[in-house]
Amino acid sequence: MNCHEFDQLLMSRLDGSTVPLPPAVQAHLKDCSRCRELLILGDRLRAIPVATPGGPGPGFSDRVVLAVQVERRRRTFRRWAVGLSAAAAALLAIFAWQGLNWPANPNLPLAHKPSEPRPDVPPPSLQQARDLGQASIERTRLLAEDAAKQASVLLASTEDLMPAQLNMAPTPVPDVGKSVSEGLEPVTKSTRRAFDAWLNLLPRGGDEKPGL
Amino acid sequence: MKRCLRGDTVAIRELVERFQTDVFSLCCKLLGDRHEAEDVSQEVFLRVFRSLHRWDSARPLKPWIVGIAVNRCRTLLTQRKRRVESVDYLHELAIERPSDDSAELVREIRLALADLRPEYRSVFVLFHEQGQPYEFIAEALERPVGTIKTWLHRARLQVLERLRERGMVSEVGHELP
Repeated sequence: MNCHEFDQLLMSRLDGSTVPLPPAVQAHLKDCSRCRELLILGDRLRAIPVATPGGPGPGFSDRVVLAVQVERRRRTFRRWAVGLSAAAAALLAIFAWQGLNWPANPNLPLAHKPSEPRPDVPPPSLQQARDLGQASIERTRLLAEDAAKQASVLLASTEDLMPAQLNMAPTPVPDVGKSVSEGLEPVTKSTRRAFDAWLNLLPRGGDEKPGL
Repeated sequence: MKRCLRGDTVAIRELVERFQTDVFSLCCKLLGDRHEAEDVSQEVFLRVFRSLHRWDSARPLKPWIVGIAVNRCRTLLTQRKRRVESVDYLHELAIERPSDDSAELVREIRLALADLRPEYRSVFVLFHEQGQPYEFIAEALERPVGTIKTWLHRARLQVLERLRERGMVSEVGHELP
């Protein structure tokens, strides 16, 4: 018998064997203090009853149930979040793919095709406004020219009025009216003649006699 | 189990109450701290319900839960790497014990276990303090019975050697069988 063999025997004792020690072991124990002490400790260890430190504190099962429910809800939420994120990512990917392949599709409407270089033509409304403005300017110029001609004629016929105005001398109102009427006389006369000529062109009828 | 998988609160509570003492007791002995053991026990049950759909219904449930508890404690012990203090439940045991020096022996065993490798400690606690047979331990730790026997053999020898070094041997009144 040696210490190793004794260890095997000790293990079987600790497993619950109640077989008495054979004489060879007892002889070894008398000579080996290590094995003798281990045998004593082993027997004490075997004599210690199985003890439990009791259960957990009160409300343990409630806490566990609550924790399980919280984790279950969190997992459900996470699953939903992951699913929605995946769906959103898939939609984005589809849109991005469509966008990248847009010009290659010949069936798409012309307006969605890539823009070709166009001449720098202003919009029609702007052109119209520009033409209208140009016509207005031309018309105003013609009117101004007519007015200038009329004014020059008017001023040429009132030479006697100009020195009085320039000299700032007080002029009697009746004289001024007379001067103005004399100054406008060529215009009024020519207008009357033009109107008479126009009336003569009208067809005559019955007792009516044209003329002012 | 099906009700638990469906999230039935009553079924979850029943399962917790059925195994909470075993799980807490094991965690307490492996970790040496009641508060820590309670936290780990709660985490063990969370893991149980999280992976309940993976549980093979052909296997017994208790070794599976005990295995999860042992793994959690082993992970914590590996992270902690500190000496386990004498746990408070040992005082309760000492009061209940008729023998004077049993409490001291238990305390010394506890200190000796703290120096063991986590798997040796688990096997020792499951066998000597939880009273579980080899087959149960093998099932819980998912190791062959031969491995469990080897681990337990080494654990016992290390503990006994430690007790011997600490002078826990009292040959007075002890007769060889």
